[in-house]
Amino acid sequence: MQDSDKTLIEIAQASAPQSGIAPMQRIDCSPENIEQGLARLVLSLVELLRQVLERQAIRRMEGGSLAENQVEKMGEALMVLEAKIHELAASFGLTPADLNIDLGPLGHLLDK
Amino acid sequence: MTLLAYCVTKTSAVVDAPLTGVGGSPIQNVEHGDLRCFVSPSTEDSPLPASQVRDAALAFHRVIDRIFDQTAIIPFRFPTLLPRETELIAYLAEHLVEYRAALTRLRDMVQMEIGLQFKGSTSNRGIAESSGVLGAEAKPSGTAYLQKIRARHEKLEVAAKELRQACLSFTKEWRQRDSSEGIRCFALVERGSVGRFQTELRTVGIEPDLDARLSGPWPASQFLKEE
Repeated sequence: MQDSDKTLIEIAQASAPQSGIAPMQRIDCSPENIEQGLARLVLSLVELLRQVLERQAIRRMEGGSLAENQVEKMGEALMVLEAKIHELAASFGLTPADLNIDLGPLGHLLDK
Repeated sequence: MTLLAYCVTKTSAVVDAPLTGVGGSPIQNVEHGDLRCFVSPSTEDSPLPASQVRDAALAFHRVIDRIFDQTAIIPFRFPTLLPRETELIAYLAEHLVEYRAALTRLRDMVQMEIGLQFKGSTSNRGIAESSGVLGAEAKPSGTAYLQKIRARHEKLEVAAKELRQACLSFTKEWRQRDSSEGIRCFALVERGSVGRFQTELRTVGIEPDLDARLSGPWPASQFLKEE
């Protein structure tokens, strides 16, 4: 167990996760960054869906409602999808951490 | 005039607020019913340049921190901007009952957070690599991939349970949820028990491949609504 070494910016943001009205976080759509901005938006949504599907797959695997070959196919698809998302993100100069958009009063797209 | 909102307290709380906040703007009060919101005027109507965000966030946090040291608060996310005071009043009116109840229930409470995750990984990429899909040197196994994710999650759950047990006597309430990086645990602790809570948690041994980060005390944002 260790104490956090979060930066103060993270602390300021973490201190206020619940309430709020309309902060000003925006995707960067300036002409020079439009591709990266859109890629970030699209890949973030794909990553969200991938994580939802992954949790659902594990629940179904635990529930025993899938045949072995179905588990294998689903797992392989999710694994390849994750690799592809990272590959595409890297090609746009994005890190995995970039695929978590700040939705203002709702917090981040993916819970950190 | 655009307002930057910091936090909400009860009007009955005696608070010695800072004189200035973000950008050196004066801290003001807006009250509705028995709620008081701390704000400062802002001239910003577009996103701050990255170079100024850090300083603004630090100034914002200093205000929040100073008020939170004295009383229970409901903080706003940074930067929450409202175009007019009437909109803030309407917001306070909408949440009057909820916030009043929360500030009363949580008045002597703070929130401690423990972030549990595997060391050196923020995603399943390591799992994919060990399953062979990225290196393409061995046949990837989808089943092994899902089983590893499940096993990792179970390990985190066990660690969270041990942490919870260790601080049970200092914790009024405990909440936890999965995150993209692991599990986030939130403990509701009395202000006067924070030191003992921290001491107790530091004695807990966790698996060497896990990372547990304790932070706080924070405003009890995760406990605003009763379960």
